[in-house]
Amino acid sequence: MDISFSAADLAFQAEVRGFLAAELPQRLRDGMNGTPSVFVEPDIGLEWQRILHVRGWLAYQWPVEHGGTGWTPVQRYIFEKECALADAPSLSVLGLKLVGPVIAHYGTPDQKARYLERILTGEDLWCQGYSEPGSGSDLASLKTRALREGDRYIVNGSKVWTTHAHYADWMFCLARTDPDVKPQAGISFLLIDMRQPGVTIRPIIGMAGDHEVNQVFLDDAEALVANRIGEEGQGWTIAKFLLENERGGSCAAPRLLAEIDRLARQSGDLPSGGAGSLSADADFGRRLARLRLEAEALEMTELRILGELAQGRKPGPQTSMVKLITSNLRQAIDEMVVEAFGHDALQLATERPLYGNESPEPIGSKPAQLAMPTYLNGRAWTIFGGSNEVQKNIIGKAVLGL
Amino acid sequence: MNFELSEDQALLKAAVERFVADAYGGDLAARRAARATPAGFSAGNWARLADTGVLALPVSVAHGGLGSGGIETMVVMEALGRGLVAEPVFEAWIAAMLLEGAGRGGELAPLIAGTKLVVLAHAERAARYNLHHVEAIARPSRGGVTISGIKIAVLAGGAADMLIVSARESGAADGPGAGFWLVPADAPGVDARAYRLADGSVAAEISLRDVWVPAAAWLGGAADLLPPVVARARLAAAAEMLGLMTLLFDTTLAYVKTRRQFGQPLGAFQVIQHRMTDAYVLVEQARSQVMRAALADSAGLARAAAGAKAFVGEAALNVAHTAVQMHGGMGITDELAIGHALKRIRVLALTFGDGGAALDAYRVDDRRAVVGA
Repeated sequence: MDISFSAADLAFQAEVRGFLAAELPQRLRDGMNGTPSVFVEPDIGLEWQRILHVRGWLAYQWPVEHGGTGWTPVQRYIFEKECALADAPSLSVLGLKLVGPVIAHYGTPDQKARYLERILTGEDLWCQGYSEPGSGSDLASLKTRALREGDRYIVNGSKVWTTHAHYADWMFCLARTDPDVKPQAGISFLLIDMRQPGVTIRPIIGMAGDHEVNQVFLDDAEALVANRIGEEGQGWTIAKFLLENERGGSCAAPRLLAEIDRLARQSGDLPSGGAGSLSADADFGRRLARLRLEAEALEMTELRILGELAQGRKPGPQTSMVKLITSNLRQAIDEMVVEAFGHDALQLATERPLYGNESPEPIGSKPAQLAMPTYLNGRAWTIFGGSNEVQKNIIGKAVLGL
Repeated sequence: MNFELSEDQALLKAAVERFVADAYGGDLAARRAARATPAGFSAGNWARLADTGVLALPVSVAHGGLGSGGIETMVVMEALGRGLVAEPVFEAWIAAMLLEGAGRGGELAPLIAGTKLVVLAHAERAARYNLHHVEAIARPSRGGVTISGIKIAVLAGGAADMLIVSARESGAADGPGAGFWLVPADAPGVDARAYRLADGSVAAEISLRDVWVPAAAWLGGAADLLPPVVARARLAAAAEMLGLMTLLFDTTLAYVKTRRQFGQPLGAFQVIQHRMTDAYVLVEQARSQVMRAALADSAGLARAAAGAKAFVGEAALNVAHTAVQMHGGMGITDELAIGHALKRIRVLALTFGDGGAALDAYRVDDRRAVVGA
């Protein structure tokens, strides 16, 4: 048993570190750390994307023929870990991680030529049209209807919790093309131009005041048949492919451990209300130690899955377990941060962004200002991408055979 | 990046699993029989464990041992835990490691052969879980010392031939000045009261009144000898709890698939599925924590093992309580492995620091690390 990296992997790690030290601007690091929402805004996200694209490292999750890097699973892990530890902005998953690999796998040559490069350059921003007002965790019950008329589909319905729809040029959308077969069989995967009269966007403002998600209304919106990915009725299969693609190993623990370390350091300067700082408080210290142990265990769990991938084995539904642990841990850290900052954590600035020269002056400190909105937005972690209850259903069925 | 066992490790694992299957396979009868003895474990099994080399595991090759590290400790203890084995393996390792640490490796042959049992008599009531708190006193006397004090929760103390007793020559109760002495269990002035712990093992409360031992019985200072031994003991306890967790989980999963209520298997109910999923995650995370400690280098072992012990202790109790609950009325009887595993976990979780004390041991080094960073 040996979890050390090979000499080649260590050299790669040094290369990534060198790149980050030289090319990741402080402004973007501050932006990442000053973002209380789940996704970073395009102002910092796209700039980082451009820097990575120039280096040729942006499409590392794609096949080599479409700009992928051909990295091993270990190299991908190292890259993601170093980026996370350097406070690099998180990359927009919508184009790069979700629809990009789908088009690369199922798309026609025309579709690949039309869309893939523009995802990398940032010319096209994407949003995901999955959830509907009546179909959240039970995705297969979706009702958005696509009726074929000649060379196009006329799409009617509504999508909700659509992250960054207000920035998006395109939506990849699950719509029902056949209502007369079983629910999963009648769904198709359509690409819908967001800049057309049939598309209306209503912002949904989160508890913290962030505009991250939207409801999207499709009223006789048009989607060309040429913009259907795969066959008619193949949408559910493609949606599952996308989900499995998401399960390519993960690297959540290093960032969580870094945040726990940061809270430990900050607690040395925070008052306890008695003698000594908060870090000397026994209850606080033991709770923080429990979080760190959980995060350390997650780190090893992720490495164990990486070990499977590195041996060429496919990761199974253990990734549902990683999602469960990560989201619960994320929320537990956010809660402890709020409690650590005491009265100063009660402030809720609703101006955005909370980084840069225009950001509002914090009460107490910048970390105190970020604590509450980060906590409030973070309640979404156990809901999106398949709620924790859905993840438990998956584990119960696929792993435990229940 | 490789999580496979080496060939030697795989062979060791197979040997221990073979022992478990032969000596304890099938039902609880073998465990009951072993526990029913005055010592609380089987002399025959003890000899077989000696034959497999398990008793020699942490001892260096130079002194006739296997010179094994964390991975071997994990593999062996997990298998013993899963088998609900009654023999006091890691309790015996502690004495062997202390003796070797004290430069007495040449005296280990009978321990490794299983013909002599030496155990640690360290805990005191007032110390609670403070490993450095020692009130027993050692006074210079006739070219040696006389030791007086009361030692509690001496694991496997009912069958010991020799005791490693901590006492202090000077200083305050939790300050420096404590050391270890090797004391024959039948030395004049040693009064051992054997009693049963929750897991059926036989521990002892040992009163020492002016027990004289020669200067040669002195092993060394507690501050030097104890920490590396406690670290390995915590790893061993965590790994044994991991084995117990897998036993509890697999047994319970099989049960909820077959036990029918309201016309369907228990496992068809979503509330049961989610509870089993929670237990599954705890087992996997516990395994990760144990692996982390098993892979730690010597500088990092103390902290990693304390953390693993704290984490696994809580997780194991949680899984054990789920297992009892899922088994319903049968879960609270003494007839299933479930209850036996719960009781063993309780004992392990409260040995070498309860959850809080182990967390604090993990934290102390943690704070140092943060300051140094």
